[in-house]
Amino acid sequence: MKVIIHDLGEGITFSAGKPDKDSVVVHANNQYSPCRGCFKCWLKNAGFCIMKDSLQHIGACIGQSDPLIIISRCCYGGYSSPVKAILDRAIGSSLPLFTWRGGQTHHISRYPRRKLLRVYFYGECTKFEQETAKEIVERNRLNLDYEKVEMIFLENIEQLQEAGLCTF
Amino acid sequence: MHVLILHASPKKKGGASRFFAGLFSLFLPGTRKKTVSINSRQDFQRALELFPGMDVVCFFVPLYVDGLPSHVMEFLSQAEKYCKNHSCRFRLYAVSNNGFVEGKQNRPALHMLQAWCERAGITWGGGIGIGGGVMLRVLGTVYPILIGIILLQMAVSFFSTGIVPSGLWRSFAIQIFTWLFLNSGVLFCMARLSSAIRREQVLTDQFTRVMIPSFLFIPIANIFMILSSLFQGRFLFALLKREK
Ligand SMILES: Cc1cc2nc3c(=O)[nH]c(=O)nc-3n(C[C@H](O)[C@H](O)[C@H](O)COP(=O)(O)O)c2cc1C
Repeated sequence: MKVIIHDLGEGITFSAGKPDKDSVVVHANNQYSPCRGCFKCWLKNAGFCIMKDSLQHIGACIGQSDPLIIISRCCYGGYSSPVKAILDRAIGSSLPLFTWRGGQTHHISRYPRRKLLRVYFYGECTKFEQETAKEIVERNRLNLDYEKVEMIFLENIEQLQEAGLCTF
Repeated sequence: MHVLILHASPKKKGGASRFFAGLFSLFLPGTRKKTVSINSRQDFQRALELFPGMDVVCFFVPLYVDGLPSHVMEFLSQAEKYCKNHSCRFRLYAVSNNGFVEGKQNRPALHMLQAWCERAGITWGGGIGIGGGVMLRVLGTVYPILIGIILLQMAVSFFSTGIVPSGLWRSFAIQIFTWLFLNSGVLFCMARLSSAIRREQVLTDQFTRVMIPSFLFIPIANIFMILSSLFQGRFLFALLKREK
């Protein structure tokens, strides 16, 4: 299942999302609560959140997404707050148990290993912010358990259209 | 010197960031400290309004999905605007903690705060990344209880027999030293941070952790998770299911 998470606003059509019927587009519109850090998605529920809003089952969605495509404004070298809220709410995609991966401690994945995580960062971004973003996305790849990561920096959202990814 | 201690865990009560903020306060005697939490959006304005009067802001953040939590991102973008429109002359220092044992995993979070400083026109003072934050937080509750029990036994023994057996003194010392040892990296880095704050210096980012080797950390953390799920009325293995 292809999953696209984006913060581009309403009224966007994803050309990249068209071919497969089972692709899911998640619009990061901030109409949901941020994670409260209670860990109930690990310790009380089997991977789903206790808050009953549109993100209650986002862990299962992200845990089965291949490829996972994230399109976010680059903010201080990380994801924008609305996109980050979705990722924070999705930690149920892994198990609470710890393991050793890539020379560091990580959580065991709840779902099988997936192939591709692709991240588009758009907006003005300094060299230092790009380096920070690269480190974050590489760590996300390890934590979310993807084999491969692709990162693309775009100066503005028009370039997404030029790249044939979406139409406004 | 006016110091604002901001802690940013979304948890209303407890939380490792609050624990480290409390511990670090002990390293800042003689300064005028104010502690504020930003659990959620409602707290942002109150915290921002304190910015203009501060010489130092110390930001205690948890690591969420390899970066800053979403509500902190929202706070930072409001704070950037606020700092551009008000005269803020503080230096920002930060302490980021994470669940995994390696403190280095906090580096991107500290770099994001440094990048924020550049955009907001604030001086970055450096930070500490603490690995095993949850474990240190739990030990910070368990050890005072253990030490309290020993003190109680010492008091009972003193009032009933007039002496305190040497065995009790020994276990008292062992508990204190074990806690100090497990926290030694954190205490050392906090001392360096407080010295940098007092001397108005920039600290190169420091990374530390709970003083437990990783091969022990993993089984201990797993047992902790199993016990915590039992506490929630669930047996962990029932929680390993996948959703469709
Ligand atoms: C949504 C979420 C995401 C997290 N992501 C990470 C992570 O990527 N790496 C890590 O080491 N710990 C991670 N943690 C663990 C927290 O960093 C850790 O529990 C920290 O001590 C929380 O601090 P607090 O109690 O002040 O909120 C995460 C926790 C939550 C709730």
